[in-house]
Amino acid sequence: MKHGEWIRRSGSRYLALIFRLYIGGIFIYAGMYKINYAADFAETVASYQLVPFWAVNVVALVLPWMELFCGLLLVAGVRTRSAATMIAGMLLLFIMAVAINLVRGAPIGCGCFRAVEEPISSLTVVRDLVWFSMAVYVCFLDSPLQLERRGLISL
Amino acid sequence: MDEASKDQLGSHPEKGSMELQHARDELKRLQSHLERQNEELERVLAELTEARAAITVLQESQDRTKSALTKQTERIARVSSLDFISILLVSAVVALLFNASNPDGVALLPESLFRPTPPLVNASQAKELLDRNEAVLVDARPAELFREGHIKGAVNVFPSLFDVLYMMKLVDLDPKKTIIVYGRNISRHYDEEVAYRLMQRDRESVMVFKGGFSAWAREGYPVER
Repeated sequence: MKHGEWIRRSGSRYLALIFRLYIGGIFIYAGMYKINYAADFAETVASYQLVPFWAVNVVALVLPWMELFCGLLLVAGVRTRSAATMIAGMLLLFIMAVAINLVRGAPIGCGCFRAVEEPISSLTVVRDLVWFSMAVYVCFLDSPLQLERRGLISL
Repeated sequence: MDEASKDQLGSHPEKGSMELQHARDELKRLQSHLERQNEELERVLAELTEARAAITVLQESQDRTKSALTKQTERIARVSSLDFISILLVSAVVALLFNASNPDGVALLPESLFRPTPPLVNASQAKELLDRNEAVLVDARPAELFREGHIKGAVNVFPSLFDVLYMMKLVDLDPKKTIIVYGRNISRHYDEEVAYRLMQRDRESVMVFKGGFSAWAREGYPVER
């Protein structure tokens, strides 16, 4: 069976719409806060001890904008599959980063939405896994109310 | 012409001539009518050919439009690497422009990259200086990492609260004593940052112990956890 075929067959387009708006909204919110506090977010990125010291600030600057743009594209329904794939990829990276630091026992905050947050835990991984599943669902299942598909959907 | 007709024409020559004339006229009229119909038929045929050509053109145009729209629909549904590159590029450009115009923006590369490297010591050299009471150790890592474990006797002075911590812990230190700074990881060189700030405070001798806590512990020297 082709990748994701079972989702297409058994999934609901309206559930995909709800997931699309939810994940898009979360990423818009997460990106907007971090954009305004780049220095704080750079400290968060550094605290994970995974990015080389010369790249920390660049990652801290670009990542929130990527989150914001992907979130906006997802909510608007423009390049939906690409945006959902990118968000799923980012979530996968976040899950790996949190998991590595949980194994290390590093006492760091998540920094997912704000600079000062409660420390990472297995719940952070579970939450990110749920969001990752939603992004994959959106990626495989077409949803209504997509700006880019107006006029083409009837073909 | 049969014999009876010949006889009839022979007996009524005028009447026969008139009938013949009448037949010729009728024949001409029919011929003319046929020609008109032929012309009309040719015109209809020409119009039909023209219409067929127009229909073919319209059909081709419709096929092309439908094919273009189908391709567009497929393109929208496809995950494209061009989209990834575009999103990444746009994010990078907007991020750099925003950062450049933001008064609270950050430097793209760490400033320590462009500063001269402070003098370095290894674990045994640092231990020797400490044993001779000629140096103090400064742990430049954030407090939560310091609390997890540090070299015995080190004081915690990290960059984000440097001024306050310096005043609290190092301001009365003998100026002749060497300050050995340690604490770095893949993402932050806290030691170089603190060493630079100490040198700005006119400390005479500041050194960096790159190996830090892990190298010290590997050597079996005393640590506190």
